[in-house]
Amino acid sequence: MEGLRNDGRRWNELRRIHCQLSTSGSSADGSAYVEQGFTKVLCTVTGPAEPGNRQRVRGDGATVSCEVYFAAFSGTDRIKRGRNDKKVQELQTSVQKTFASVILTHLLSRSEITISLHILSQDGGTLAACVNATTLALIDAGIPLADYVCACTAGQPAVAVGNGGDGGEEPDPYLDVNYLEESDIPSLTVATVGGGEKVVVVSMESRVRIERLEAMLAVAVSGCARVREIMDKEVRRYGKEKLEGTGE
Amino acid sequence: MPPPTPLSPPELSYLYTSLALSPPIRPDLRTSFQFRPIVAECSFLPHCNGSSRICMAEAGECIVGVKAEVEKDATSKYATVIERDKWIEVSVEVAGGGASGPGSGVGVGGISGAGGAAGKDEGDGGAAVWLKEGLLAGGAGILDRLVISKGWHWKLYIDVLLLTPTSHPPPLLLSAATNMALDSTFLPKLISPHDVDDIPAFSDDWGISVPLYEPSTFPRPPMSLPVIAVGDNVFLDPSVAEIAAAEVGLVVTLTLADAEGHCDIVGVRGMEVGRGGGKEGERKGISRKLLRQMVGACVREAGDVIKGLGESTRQQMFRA
Repeated sequence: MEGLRNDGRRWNELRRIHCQLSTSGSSADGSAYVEQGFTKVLCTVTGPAEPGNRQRVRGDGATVSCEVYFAAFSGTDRIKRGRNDKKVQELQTSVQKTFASVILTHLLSRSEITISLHILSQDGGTLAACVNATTLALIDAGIPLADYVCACTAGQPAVAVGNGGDGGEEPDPYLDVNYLEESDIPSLTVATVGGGEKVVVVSMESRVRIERLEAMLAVAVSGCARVREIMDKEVRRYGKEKLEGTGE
Repeated sequence: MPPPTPLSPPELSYLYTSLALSPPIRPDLRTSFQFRPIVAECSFLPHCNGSSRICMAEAGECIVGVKAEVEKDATSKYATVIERDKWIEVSVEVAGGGASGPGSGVGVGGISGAGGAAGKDEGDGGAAVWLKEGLLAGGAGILDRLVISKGWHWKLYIDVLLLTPTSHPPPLLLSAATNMALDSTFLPKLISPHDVDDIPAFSDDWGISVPLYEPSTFPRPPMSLPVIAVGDNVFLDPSVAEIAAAEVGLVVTLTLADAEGHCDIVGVRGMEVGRGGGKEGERKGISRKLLRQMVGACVREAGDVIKGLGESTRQQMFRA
């Protein structure tokens, strides 16, 4: 079991990512479903549409709003989270701010884009899965984006005990932490635009030594690039399937 | 209030006339008793004892998660019998489509509203109420299955998540999803003795977990079918437009009684419909013969529908 994590992965391995576009049929303009390990998120996008509220009309660009729903059955214990729950609000704000900056809103002035996220199952990396699902749903809705926004998490495990006692080498950061790791070790979530190194979101809720931050960021960013590849592959596959379907 | 439709009075009148013809013409050319296709999945949520997702063309998408928790029976001398209906908690949540959408994200019809006026309404507050009502109605026998051992029982939380913003949860969608989720619900196997009132112990092995509804035993979980009548014609699985043009509507809750597909009626409720051929505010009564026809149609056709759903559930269950 040397060097393996509690779910049998190596430090730089992602969990299984499964994504699907257009899951909700005609009830939304765009929808996507993302599974990262046991974290499962469903996203639907409505818009660009006429804003329901006058205050949301902006002459110079589209308004992006976001709603997050935690299903009561999403965790191990049944917890109902209301609209004003701190965790819900925080997630809502981070997704909303991220996509307000990545969507080419100036092309869609005087309109509103609504993102609703349903968290069906939580197993670490909720924010990352939400960001990935939103990107795919926006692509499905045909909303112009600067590039894919891909998110991934990384965590820093503590120095392994009984390592010869030299206390020398720090262990490598873990890529894509699951729930057990997330509650055990400090971890951060990073989202990048495109597969490159343009970071749009960094979120971290625990303390870590400053020297380790660089390594964690690097691992998370490389994870984002891999997530992008997986998402891009699915988008292309879906696009091809759609085109072949309409060609006949 | 019936669900709002974008149809104008002339359109409604046209629809009414074509539905009242003999033989009737439905807008999507279905036959009277034909159902629309659905997408149904189950057992896909690892944190739930049972889960399902159903997609319907018009009604939208619905996800149900069933969670079971071990609970001690209420200790009061007489309470055990009285409190049994609290063993199941149903809640229906409708996601808002933007802050402006109808029913914007507020949990409609948590079972708390059961006693109030909302409970009488087929719409908003009623959804959770009639879902639970169907489950508890005689013959379903679900409460007996929730007994673990002396003094202990399972508390079942059924959370229905309607992803399409609407103030009128479609009964077929909600009940089909609940039916499927319950059908795929598994509870851990009890390994401590039945007749001891210590804290019960369960096996960790999901491979030997017990299904809440043992396959091929009857009755099965209930299902509610909407049915409408226009003139002398009866239609199953009506679309929103058809409901707006209907004269009378019912939601019939049924449960499968045997393997051949015979059904027992568990409940019948009125459904709000449009104004049919009459004027706004006018409502015609319904003859006993027509009522009989409507319920009869449900009983006849429901067997195949429930059986079909059950088969697809069994194919997808984590333990086939």
